[in-house]
Parts: sequence; structure tokens; C-alpha cells
Amino acid sequence: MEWARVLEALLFAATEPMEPSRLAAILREGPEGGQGWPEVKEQEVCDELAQLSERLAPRGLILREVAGGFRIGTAPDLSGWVAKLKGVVRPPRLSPPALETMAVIAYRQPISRAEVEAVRGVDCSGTLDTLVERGIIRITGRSEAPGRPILYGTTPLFLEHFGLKDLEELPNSEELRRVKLPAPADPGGPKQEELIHEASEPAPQS
Amino acid sequence: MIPMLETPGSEALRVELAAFTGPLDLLLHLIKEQEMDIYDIRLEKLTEQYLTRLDKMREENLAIAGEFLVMAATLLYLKSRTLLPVQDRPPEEVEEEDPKWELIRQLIEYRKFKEAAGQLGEREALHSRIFGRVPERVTASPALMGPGQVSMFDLVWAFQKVLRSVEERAKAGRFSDEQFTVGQKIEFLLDRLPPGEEILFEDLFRSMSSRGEVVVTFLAMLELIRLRQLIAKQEGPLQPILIQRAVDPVLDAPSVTGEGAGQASVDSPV
Repeated sequence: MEWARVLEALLFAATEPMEPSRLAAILREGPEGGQGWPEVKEQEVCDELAQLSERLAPRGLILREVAGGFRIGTAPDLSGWVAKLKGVVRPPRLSPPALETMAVIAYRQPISRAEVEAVRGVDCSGTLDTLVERGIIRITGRSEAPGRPILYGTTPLFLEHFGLKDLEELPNSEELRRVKLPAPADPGGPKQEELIHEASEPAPQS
Repeated sequence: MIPMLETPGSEALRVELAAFTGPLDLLLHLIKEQEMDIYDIRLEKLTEQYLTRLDKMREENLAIAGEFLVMAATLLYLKSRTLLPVQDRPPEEVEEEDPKWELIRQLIEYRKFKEAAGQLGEREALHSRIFGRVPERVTASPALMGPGQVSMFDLVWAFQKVLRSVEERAKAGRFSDEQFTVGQKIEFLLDRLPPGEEILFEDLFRSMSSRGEVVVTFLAMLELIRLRQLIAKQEGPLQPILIQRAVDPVLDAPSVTGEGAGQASVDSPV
């Protein structure tokens, strides 16, 4: 495939995960003032991506499928070497409390602070702020529950940070999404219970 | 960190306590340590162990989060309740299920998420070892700003000052429920400033008493700067900012005010 080289260059230069549809569109469109491959199909791009991934396997780079797209990165076993380069920073890892908060949000989004706190049994305002600041979660809206609390959900950066293709790839997602949520501290009748259940439907990831 | 408490045991304990993310985490640890079945917890033993831990934390001069104390109270309440004969319980509780189950349910639920957090942590550990290209940081270089030109930061700083004074005025009891649109305020600004004329930044907002009106006017101003209808000027650092209506918007287009402010007005989520 003559456009395979183009694909490789695009993935190398990209600073975010590239969806196969987007890659196919670029290939069809062609370079500035030049000729593309108008017949390239998304499926062909996917096949080529799989081959590229295999070709890279013995080398210093890997191709990962994260956050709905494909992204070239350095091989994990070489991290010690890469870290020696100036200006290369890896995102800091989350603290145990932040990871717990993250887990509750990931499986139960959209979710309010009170609901996260009901599961964890501790104040979560600090960890929520940190996660929002890091762009791993975002405010997705307001709940219909009393007080119209702010709801949180994950961002594409969450998927990238944890190397996930999509939310379905979360471990044990079936079980953890089904478990009933303990009611938040404020009084609420069966009506609220229902709303919480509704609110815990997984949000469509943009 | 107090030297006289430095014993091998206290060192281990400190590490351990720092590792608990909350009272539920500590309870799970104790249940496991005591080899209890989570569905069949022995409240008396658990409460005793829990309080012992808290005491040790206090001895260590560790700040104990309020939630740990609330859990201690809950445990004591649950324990005391087991000592009461059924007929002596408060009438509203006789019908209810044993509140112990509420705690057990919470513990089971929490344990699932704690495990999920552990798995996420493992994924994070692996993927934090993969480096990808990141977008280059775009930084506005102050060196590019010539004399007489106003940066976006200066504008925002001046705007914050205006907002503060508006809030003072609002406190004085002037309220307005009028709705304002950026379109209206663009017209207002163009009316207020005939071509070539200038006005002090603060004076533009002088008559306004609501936060909303000031914000919308500021947005209108940024939009006009982007469209090169208005120019923000400043004699020097810390000097007052002047807003001038351009005489000929196409020819009279200073680079910094146009570019910088234009980008910022697009990016800022208001």
C-alpha cells in the first residue's frame, strides 16, 4: 500500500489519538495542492494500522489503540531511557484517594460529588478538583435531584491516561455498573433513588 | 516526626495509616486482619480494633480526618444497639432492618471500587511508561509586546478591577434584571465611540451596575478588538488602558491587540 508511509507519518506527528475515519479522510483528501487516494476506505486503514502495529512490535515504538483512536508511543520497557531526555515529562500518577474517586466516576458517570462520597465515605472535593484540573474528568451537567448538584464524567484524556480504548474496556464494567449505589447523605425518597439509577447510565463518550 | 516516638513499631504504623484512604478502607483492612467474614462482622471486636487504631493515630500526633471520628461514632452506636433488648429500642427502629447491614452493604460496595481503583492503578503504571508526542506549549512572549500595546493579561486585569467595583455597587443596592446580549453591547460601544475617539477602559463600564452587563460588554469589546474596530492602548506598564475606535479598521490594525485579544476571546469559555 503506497499510502502506508503517509499513515505512519501522520501517526508519528499527531499529538492526539487519531480515529481511523479521520486518517482515511486525510488520505482521500490528499496533501495541500496535491493528489490523494480517493478510493481509500476506513476498513483498509484499520487493516494497515494492524499491520503497522505488528511491524513496530520488535522496535522501539508501539501503536496503541486509545480513546477511540490510534497513537504512536515509545515502548514501555524503554521508559527509563526516554525519561533521560530533556523536556520529556510523563504525566504524574494519581494518588490512591484520587484513583478511588476516579474509579467511582468511571463506572458510575455521570455522578455527583455526594454520590461519590457516599461510596468512598470521605470528603472528595479535593480529589475532584485535582481530577478536573488535570483534565481527566469534567463537569457534564447538573442532576435533576434536589439541589441540582453538578455531575462529573470522564474525558477522552481519562481513556488515554489509563490506556483504554473506550469505557467498555474498563475491567469488570458489567458488574460494577450494575451495583446499586448507596444513597447520598441527604434525605431522599424512592423518587430520588430512581433518578440516581437513571443518572448512572454510562454517558456517551464524545 | 517527633523523635521520642520513634520506635520501629511506630514507623510501620505511620506508613500504614498514611496508606488508608478513609474509614471504610481502614475497616476493610481490620476485617481482613481479623479474618472476619464481611457478611458476619463481629461488631464488638471490630469497634475495639478500630478505636485502638484511632488512639494510636492520636498518640502519633497524626491529624485524624473527621470522617474517621464519624465512623467511630457509628460503630459505637451499632455496638450499643446490640446490647439493647429488642423491646427497649426506639419505636421507630423496631420495624427497620438492622442498621448494621447498611454498613456491611457500604463496605461491600466500597471494596468493589477499591479493587477497581487498584486495577486502574496498574493500567496507569503501565501506560505512564509510554511516551507520546504532546502538543507544544504555546506561550505568549512578553518580549513581542512593544511600547503602547496592551496584552490580554493587562485587559483581563483591568476587567477584574472593574468587576470588583461593580460588585461594590451591586452591594449598595442597585439591582437590575435586564438581559444583555453581546450584539446590543457592540452597538452600544460603536455608538459611544465615534471613529478616532478614545475613552478610558474603566469609564466604559462606569454606568453599569450588574455583573452580567459588565461581562457582556467586555465580550463585545473583545469581539470589536478582534474585528479591529477597537484598539486597546497603554502609555506604558501600569498606565491606564485606553480604548480607541479605529479610524480605518483595515489600515489601522496593530498586530498585538488584534491577534492576542482575538484568540483569547475565542478560547475563553464564558
